[in-house]
Amino acid sequence: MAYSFPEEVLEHVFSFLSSDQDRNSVSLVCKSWYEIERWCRRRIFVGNCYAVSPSLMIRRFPEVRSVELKGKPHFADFNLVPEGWGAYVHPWIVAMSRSYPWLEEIRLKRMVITDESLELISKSFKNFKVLVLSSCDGFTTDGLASIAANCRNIRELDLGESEVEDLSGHWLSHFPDSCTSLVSLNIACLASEISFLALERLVARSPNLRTLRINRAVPLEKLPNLLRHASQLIEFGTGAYSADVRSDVFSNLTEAFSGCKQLKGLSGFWDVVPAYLPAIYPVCSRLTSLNLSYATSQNPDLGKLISQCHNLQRLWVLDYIEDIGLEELAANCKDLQELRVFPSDPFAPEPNATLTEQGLVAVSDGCPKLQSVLYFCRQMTNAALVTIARNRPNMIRFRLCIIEPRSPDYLTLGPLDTGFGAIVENCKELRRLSLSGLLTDRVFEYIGTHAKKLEMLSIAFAGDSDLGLHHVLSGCESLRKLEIRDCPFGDKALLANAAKLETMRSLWMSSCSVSFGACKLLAQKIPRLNVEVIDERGPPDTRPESCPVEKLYIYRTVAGPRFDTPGFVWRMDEDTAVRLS
Amino acid sequence: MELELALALPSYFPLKSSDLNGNVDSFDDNFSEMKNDMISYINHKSNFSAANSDYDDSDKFERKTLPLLVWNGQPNDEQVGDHRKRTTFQACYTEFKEENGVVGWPPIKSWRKKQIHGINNDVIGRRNSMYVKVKMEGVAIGRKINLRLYDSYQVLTNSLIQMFAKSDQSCDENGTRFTLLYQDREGDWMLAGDVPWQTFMETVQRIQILRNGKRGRINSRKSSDIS
Repeated sequence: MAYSFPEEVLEHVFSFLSSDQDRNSVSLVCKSWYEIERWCRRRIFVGNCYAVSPSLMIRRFPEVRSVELKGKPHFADFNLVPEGWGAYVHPWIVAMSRSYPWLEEIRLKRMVITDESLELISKSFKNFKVLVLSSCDGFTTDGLASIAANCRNIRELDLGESEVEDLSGHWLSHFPDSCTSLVSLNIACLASEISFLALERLVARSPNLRTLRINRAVPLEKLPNLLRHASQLIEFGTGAYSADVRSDVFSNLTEAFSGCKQLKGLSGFWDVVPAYLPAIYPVCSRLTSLNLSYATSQNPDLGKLISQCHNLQRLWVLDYIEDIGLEELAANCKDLQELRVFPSDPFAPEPNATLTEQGLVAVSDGCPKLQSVLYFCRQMTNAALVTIARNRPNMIRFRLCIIEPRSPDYLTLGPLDTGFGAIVENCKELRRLSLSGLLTDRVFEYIGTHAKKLEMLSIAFAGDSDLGLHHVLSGCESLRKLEIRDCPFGDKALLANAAKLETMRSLWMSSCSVSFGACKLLAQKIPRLNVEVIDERGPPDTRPESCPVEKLYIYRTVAGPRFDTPGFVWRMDEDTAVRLS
Repeated sequence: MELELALALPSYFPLKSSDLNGNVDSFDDNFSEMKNDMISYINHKSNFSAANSDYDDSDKFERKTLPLLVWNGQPNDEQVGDHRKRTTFQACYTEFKEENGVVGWPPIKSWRKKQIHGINNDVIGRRNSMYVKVKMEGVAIGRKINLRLYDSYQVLTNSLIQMFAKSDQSCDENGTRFTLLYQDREGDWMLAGDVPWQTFMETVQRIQILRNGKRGRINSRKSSDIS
């Protein structure tokens, strides 16, 4: 069918569509739109690097400038995925280096990247600008040196929370003197000392630097000099925030912070010495984001600091903030949107701070814009959850971790079903939910009934039977990622909802009741699912088929089975894939 | 841009359910039927005007689930009423435990654990923190403090009293009513202030705050009596 619109016009129209979903919809309209759209697609997001192959991506989208890839399952963050599982980025880099000479951005999450890959990146893409490595590993400072030396137009280098093997702090001096394009530099995760002189010179010649996060090895005494070179900073992450208390150091630091008129975000504060916290008071009223989750500072210093940050939108803290600090937060920070409270001593048998459900209730009551919560605590009640749900129906992400598994409502000693039920019933836009505490199948009935927009659900130590999982899989229409550990969910719920798995990105189940036989059956019947059993005890087929598997990872794919599985991962498609394809 | 994997397509087609024992042939029938449907779907979609006129047929493409097993509403029917006894993996294999109990629980990123809690802390050798537990007599919740933040008994005592003050109204700002004890490497409880600050820092393992008046009877006691 002939179109009156020239392709260029449609291309221009499409360029205004910023959401991935809209671009996908456009490409489904007709063949001609599909063609036009694929040639002008510049940014790609791949949520699972094994769901599609580099060659498929390149064949469909030949002119990409920016690629974001995610690798290991989310539970890898908590050491549940054994070392060597996979998610190697090298094949992607090799393929892209051949086909995308104009690639500008690579963002990776939970992937393994080697120095060889980093060198290839630094030499293959002529106009390379952005490298973001979140929770990645496999590389050393030598690889970073190649990036520094060869990427002349680098704008952003962000090492996130990656595990970098620290061979030398000298890599920073590989940035050539001509490199003045940096907008963002995050090296907070590096352990060893860096060459401070090289850092200082780099910062001084980067007039566009907006984000700088340095590592713990940079002492507090060095901050004033650094800040004086970068008064245009919007986000700053300090190193170790400790020094002998001296008034000249303090006044120097205060003055340096006061000079940063655009500062909006602060993080770092390792080994904090509370006496130096007032140095940031001059900028507090401007801050929208404050990460104190590495600062083991306590009240009253902590509360005093936070109560001055009236414009705070995001706060990460340790439980040292206590209920009393959260009450102050609720009273002073009316713009707060995101709160994360981490445990200072999660493995201690008893609490070491007075942080209870009361603190969260107070914040939900006082902060009308609160929509994202991660909260570690040691006690919770249904009444508190109901209040939170009623106070904040605008909640989008709600992750609650009651540290002791299967903790009941400590007042009634009953399960927390109705509390979480209230959350899903009231918060209609909820997209992410993590459950903890004592929960029966009933909570999953509430979730299946109400959580229609839920995209990611994390479950641990909950439920009593397959019915729980069945409610979730059959009810949560928008579910994309489901991760479950230590729950009595088994074959029946999984097989009865097998096709649901094709509509999701992935399912993780560890220490549950899914049998080896069910895994095999699933892989046989739905060839577009990769069903992988992870078992470090040896081949699962040496045990009876009814024996539950240790860990199970299921994901949809158009790339077929992967071929880089280590010895402890068993692909369930191995003998059936050929026959069915 | 998100790369849509186009995997949802097959589930848009009505499929007959095959039960758990259904053989591969019946599945293959479904599969070829699914393929035919897909072809007609694509033809259907590529014809723009037809797609408009046949809009009402869209019901046909509603999402359906392909069950490999038909849900009969009875979970775990083989052992109804006794499902808590089902074998879970954890019940069979209990050797995969961390010192705190369960691997990966509570869910804290390993990176954060290294930063804050010093687990696998061989990389970060140089630490500026030294945490000890502090308990106050009559206060249920103890604290952990970083002793590196203090440089004298005076500062330490004042901070601790302030820290515990709000949990205990009877505290006053003046430290004379309280006595600081610490447990040394040998496990003996000693009176803080009797040795130089540096010596105290080298040997202190934990701290206890006592109300005065009981001081006399504590002096000679051993760790086992007090903790």
